[in-house]
Amino acid sequence: MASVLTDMADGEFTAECARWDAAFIAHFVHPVTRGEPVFLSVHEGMLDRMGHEWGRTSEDFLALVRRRWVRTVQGRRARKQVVVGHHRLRRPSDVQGFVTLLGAMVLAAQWMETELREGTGSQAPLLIDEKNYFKRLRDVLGLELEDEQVRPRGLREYEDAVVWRNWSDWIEEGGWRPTAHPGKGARVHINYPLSQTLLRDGDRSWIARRFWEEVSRGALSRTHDKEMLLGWMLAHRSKFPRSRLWQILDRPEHQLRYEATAAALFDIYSTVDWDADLAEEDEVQPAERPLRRLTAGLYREEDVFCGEVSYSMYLKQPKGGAVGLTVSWMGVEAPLRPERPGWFMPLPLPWKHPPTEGLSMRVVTPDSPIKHVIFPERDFWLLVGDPLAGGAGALASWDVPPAPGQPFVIICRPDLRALLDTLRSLDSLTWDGAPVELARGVWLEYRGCRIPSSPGRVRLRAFTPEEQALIKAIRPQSSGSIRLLGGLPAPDRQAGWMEGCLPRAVLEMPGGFAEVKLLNLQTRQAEPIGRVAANEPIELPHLAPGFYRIEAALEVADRQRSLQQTLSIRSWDSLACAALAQDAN
Amino acid sequence: MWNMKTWLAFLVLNERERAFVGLSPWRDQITRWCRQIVRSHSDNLRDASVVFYSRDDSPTTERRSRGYRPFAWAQPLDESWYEEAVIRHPFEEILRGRSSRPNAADDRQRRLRPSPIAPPVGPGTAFDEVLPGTDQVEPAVAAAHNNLLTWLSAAGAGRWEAFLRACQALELARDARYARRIIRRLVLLGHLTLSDGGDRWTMQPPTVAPLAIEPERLILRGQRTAELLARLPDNRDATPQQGAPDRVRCCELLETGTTELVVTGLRFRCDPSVMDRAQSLPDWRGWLTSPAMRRYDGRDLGKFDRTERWVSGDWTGEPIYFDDVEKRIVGPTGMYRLSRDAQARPPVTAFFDAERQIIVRGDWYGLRFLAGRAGGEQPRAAWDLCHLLVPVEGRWPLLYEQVLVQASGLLPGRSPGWLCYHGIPLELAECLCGKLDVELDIAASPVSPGCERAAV
Repeated sequence: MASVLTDMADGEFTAECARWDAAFIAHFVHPVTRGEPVFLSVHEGMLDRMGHEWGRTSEDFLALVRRRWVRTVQGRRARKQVVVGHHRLRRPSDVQGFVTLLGAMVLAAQWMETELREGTGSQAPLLIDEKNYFKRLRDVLGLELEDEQVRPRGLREYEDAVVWRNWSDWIEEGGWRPTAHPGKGARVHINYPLSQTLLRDGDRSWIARRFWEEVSRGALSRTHDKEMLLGWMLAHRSKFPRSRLWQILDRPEHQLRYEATAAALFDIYSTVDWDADLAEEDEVQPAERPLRRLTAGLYREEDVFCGEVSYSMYLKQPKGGAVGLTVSWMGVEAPLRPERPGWFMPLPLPWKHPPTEGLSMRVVTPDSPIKHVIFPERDFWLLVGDPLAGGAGALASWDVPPAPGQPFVIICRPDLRALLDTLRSLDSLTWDGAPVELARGVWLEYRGCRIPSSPGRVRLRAFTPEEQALIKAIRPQSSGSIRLLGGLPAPDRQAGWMEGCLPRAVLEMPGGFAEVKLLNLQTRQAEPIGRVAANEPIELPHLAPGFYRIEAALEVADRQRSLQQTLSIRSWDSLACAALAQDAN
Repeated sequence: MWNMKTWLAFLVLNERERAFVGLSPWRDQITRWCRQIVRSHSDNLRDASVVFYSRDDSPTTERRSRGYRPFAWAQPLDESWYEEAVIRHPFEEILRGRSSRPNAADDRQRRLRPSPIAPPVGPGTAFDEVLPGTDQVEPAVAAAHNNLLTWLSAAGAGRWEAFLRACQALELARDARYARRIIRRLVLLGHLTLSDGGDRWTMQPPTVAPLAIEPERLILRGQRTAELLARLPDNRDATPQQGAPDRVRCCELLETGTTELVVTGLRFRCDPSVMDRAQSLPDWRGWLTSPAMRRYDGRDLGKFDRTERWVSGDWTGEPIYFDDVEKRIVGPTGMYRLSRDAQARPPVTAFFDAERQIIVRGDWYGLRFLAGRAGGEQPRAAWDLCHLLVPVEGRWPLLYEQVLVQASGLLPGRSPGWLCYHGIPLELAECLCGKLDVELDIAASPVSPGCERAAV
């Protein structure tokens, strides 16, 4: 059936286009916290959900892009071609009017990645190249193959890349992390849309059912956290024959996309109701699942009077918050009260050590979709200092890696003792004194751990997957990074640093120098900072509220390398009052 | 900047009789008091003179002895006092200048009651009508304190270390010592609360409470951001004060029992009046044994290398220890400093009650107050003209001082020897002094009956 958009009057069609543009931005960009990555992950399920609000479907979207971005050019022979009109991109924000074109490109990438999903599945090689991609893009845009050229007419001057670059600039200008990047070799241009594809609704539904089946037959634990779940999936990859999934998970070097997918997988795992029957769930019309479980971290503090160490469970608040949750455990009910934006107050444990195994606690709040709090059964915990206190104070499993020179604590199973000894012998890790046995040797606690600013080289492949996980947690950035130290971080979820209380930047790398400059992402003006030595703190100039990027061009023999770090400066007026515990007094 | 001089005046009636007029860091204030006296009694003062003295009160490193007084009532002034002026009848120099407000003076006279005992340190009217240095607040420092409150409001709650870090980043405190003073002030002002161990803070929600002496005016406490301030009524005003965020007031008459106020869509908690709060507080013995004071196990004393008792302003007293045989703590009641050698931890201050066999932690001044009681000291305070004067060396526990500060929303003014709390009705002063067993003197100000008698 033809879409209503096909014969829509011009004025009405213009309004329809504006509506889709706004809906795309509202769906993909605005819900993302500043500083977090934005993915334009367009697929049919998402288009159907989004368009449902005003009676449109993914078919209507196809009709829209075919009318809006394709023109019939009269000549000896009338032919269709893409009309980008990229000369209208005078500033990055203009790209909002091109977002449906970008969406069409991502949809083509999705079609390419899924074409071999059925049948031979992941065993068959997936052909991801320009030819295949543009074949799919022609399908999306309703174009026919006219000549031997891979690219359709209208894109042969790489007009699409111009739009993608503007998209990235606009995302960055708004304080989010752009994720669309060019690739290498044959993928140099098609990588832009490819880098945006994440899991689709159908994938999510299928994976949820796989998780449910594995848990039902006892093959998958109910108390995994994100890392353990990924580890289990890697070890059982044959249970997940979805080529698109492994397209992402096998490329951890595409860090943002990998992390977003890993987080999405854990979201799926946390939303499955293990007691429900998912066997017959429709993959095409998947059910909306609320979050069922919260997964706890670990919090460690020392009493100033008696020096006694105590452990608590530390829970991150789910997106959108969760008010009034009460957990019941061992006959005691404990309310979850907000501690700081994004986190609940630590829930004290009755022992002088972390739990020896995974725990599942019931949420007793009536009508709450969240039914359980899980303490995951892990092989190790990395407890770092409070990021809001500059790494001082209590230690907890905050989502930040340990900074060089800053003390942290490792709590691990005795099996990992040999690995830590190895890391120490490789000058990659130090600690104070002998490890302390906790829970009669179930855990070993290494206190005063530090990683040097120039740690020794470690060959990851020489270690088991469990050992690799610990190594990666200790030193996630192997190729250098720009770390921001000191200053006053904004305390809310928007992150950034407070105006007038800027951090210092440190180029963390083994040695050498770099030419550093500061780019204002709003004005695109660059301010040179100078030639800076590795691991030396750089004082930043006074910066007005806004978004900036610190760029360091490294002086490495025979090749160019660069490091980047975005920096958000927050105005004092941008802070809002945090939610407080109701009974705070 | 610190006021470097202290002023006092005597009304000399004849060679044998003289009456103390007042002590103040401001000469104008002394002059005003003298003016009131000579106007009221000009006919009886034909042979009298007023003598002004001043003394350099610049801060020194020299430690003042326990029970220090700037001068003794009955003794001649010591050498540090310099005779500035002798003004004889008809006292022209005194009578020139702004006219006083006789009605206000009459009103004050009616409300004052004579003290049955002599006031401490003369009349103790030292800091009358003085806000705590509001005209001396550096704008940049005031802005930093306001920004700190905004940051804390956005964080909601946190650990002590995060507070310290914020103070350092805003250049309000170099180290923990200074940051502790700031957090104590924020607690006094009611912006935040501390956990019983002092290691966590939690912001109070946006709260309004009536001023003690102007109940139609509300003070804003707790969480505060630029957006919240912008939505308050136009009749609000902000008073900068040293070492703390601005005091913000607005006008709104609260019905008794109101628990919530909605202003332009924002909800504010309404606190009861300070008088109600004061009445609901336990007395100091009840406070010592309340759950608010965190207790510690005496057996943990063995983890410290040194225990020293606070005696006469120094840590020179004998130690305490836990007797494993007797299963009890041995040592006299008092405030102790507990230190470790091996670990880089700051010393811990605690109070030991030998009779109850409890060790508690709390705010430093509170523990010192308890130590003073244990040492047999009789704390005193003086009230005059809606000001309460408390000796610096006898500062009250945080729980009680909070009520004094929140009566006006202003931190106390301070001189070398005294803290002056503003806007304190006599009933409030009497209530709190009763809770703490503090001897309250209704000060012999220049207009008080006692002083009048002396002047005649």
